[in-house]
Amino acid sequence: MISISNLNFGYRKNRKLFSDLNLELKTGRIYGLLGKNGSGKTTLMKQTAGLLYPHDGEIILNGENPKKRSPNFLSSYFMVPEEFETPSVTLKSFLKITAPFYPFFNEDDFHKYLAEFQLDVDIKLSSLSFGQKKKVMLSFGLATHTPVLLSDEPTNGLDIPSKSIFRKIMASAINDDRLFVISTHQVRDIEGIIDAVVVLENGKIIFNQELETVSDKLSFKTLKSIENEDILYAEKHLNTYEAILKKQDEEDTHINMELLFNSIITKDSKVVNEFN
Amino acid sequence: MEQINNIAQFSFKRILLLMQKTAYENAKFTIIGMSTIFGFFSVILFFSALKGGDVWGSMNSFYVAGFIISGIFISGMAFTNFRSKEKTMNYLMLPASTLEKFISELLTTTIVFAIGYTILFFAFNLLTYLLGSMYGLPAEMMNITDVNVLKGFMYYVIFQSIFLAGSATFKKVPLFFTSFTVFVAGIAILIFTVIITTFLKGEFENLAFGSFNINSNTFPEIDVENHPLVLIPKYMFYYLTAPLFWLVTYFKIKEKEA
Repeated sequence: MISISNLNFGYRKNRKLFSDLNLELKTGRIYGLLGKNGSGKTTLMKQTAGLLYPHDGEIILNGENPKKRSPNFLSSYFMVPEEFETPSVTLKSFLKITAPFYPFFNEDDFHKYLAEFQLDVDIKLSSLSFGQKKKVMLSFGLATHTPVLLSDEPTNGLDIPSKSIFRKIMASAINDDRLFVISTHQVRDIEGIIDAVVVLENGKIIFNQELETVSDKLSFKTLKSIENEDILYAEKHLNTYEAILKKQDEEDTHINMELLFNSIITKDSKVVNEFN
Repeated sequence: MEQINNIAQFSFKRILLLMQKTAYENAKFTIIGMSTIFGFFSVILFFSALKGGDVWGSMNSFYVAGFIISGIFISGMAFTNFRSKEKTMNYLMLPASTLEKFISELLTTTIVFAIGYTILFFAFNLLTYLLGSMYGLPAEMMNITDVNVLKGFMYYVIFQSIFLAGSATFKKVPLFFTSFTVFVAGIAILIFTVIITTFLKGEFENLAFGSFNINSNTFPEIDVENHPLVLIPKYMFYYLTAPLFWLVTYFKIKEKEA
């Protein structure tokens, strides 16, 4: 579990990024941390990982304070950053020198995920493309079986088939003891795999809901006109409208993540108000 | 694959894992560096052999010179993970404490390096000894207990600590910036020593930098070598430099976390 209470942080003294930010993320779920560029997603990830320290407030990850940076804390999460450098060694050597630091690392799972991504274990890391390196790091991160997996823009650099494999692997790897946080601004890439959505805007959590709740309250429909009173948000697409409406019947509709995100970040969002 | 229990705050096993990680990641650089050093020695010995092989009997000097030079390179390149933001992040997220990370680098650049280099040099020396015997050159085996070799170890530890701190401090070309800092500090110490000596002597005459040497012959009226103003900085330099710079290195790693 990740618990953030009254977090205050800013890169500059007179410009706060987070002001009394509160957030609770529970195990057994995949969270989509969404936000526009510069909204503070990566900074929040770094705070959680103990790579940046809050000016005020507290973060608890799996019962540990990231600020203490104890080995136990560091082995309770794995983070796949947006950009990273890999050592100039073979994948086998990388496995040999890095995996032992993670007590629950499962080599069979690692090979399984690599195979899903169609990567061979007999490769040199430096010879891989950025996307391939990302696949290796994602496979490694999942195989560590750490209680928390943080991934920052994990689909950047992945080709379209790999994005689909990524979704499949993430969905299969989650269990009641783990918590995945996927930070992205490419909301379509995480459609269908996340259990809850957290939207960050200008350093504030403006939306934090389980998709089940979203589904209970909202309907996503394609309409020919938008003269319906129940419409909370709509976007014109050629001759039709993609709309979010108050849910009136029992029928669940497919959540259009991009539409939901756009509706949330709109000023005076009716969608956000619907949940308050 | 055996994993470790990470509940303990300090673990020797984690230190060994960190050292193994360093060894794997720096293997290429170490092999190139050592090949260069021994290649250079081979060239010197080859040309010396053409002129009678005078230097074939100076294996202690070769050993110490190679030890200090390659050791400085190894120490200066120790924290390669701090060269970029991405690598620093990876390094900081690795499940080990700052103290363990520091100790692993310290042990790698002192004990592990010393043992590794000595074994390599011994093998090289054995080869030169056999070649020397075959071609009638005055070859000798190094003597590790020689007083100059032991002094070399002491100087190495001092330089190792400085270059280790430099590698944790300077993000880019740490070897160059540390060397430059050492040079500037050396000049400052020299000026300071001249001031102290002038103070002891009472005047500055006959003190040319080229022949500058503080001993009892230079100042017969004062026991310069045992004067507290000379002894204190001297012992401070010999015995406090390394611990001081190791401490600096530790805090520099801590600083990267914040």
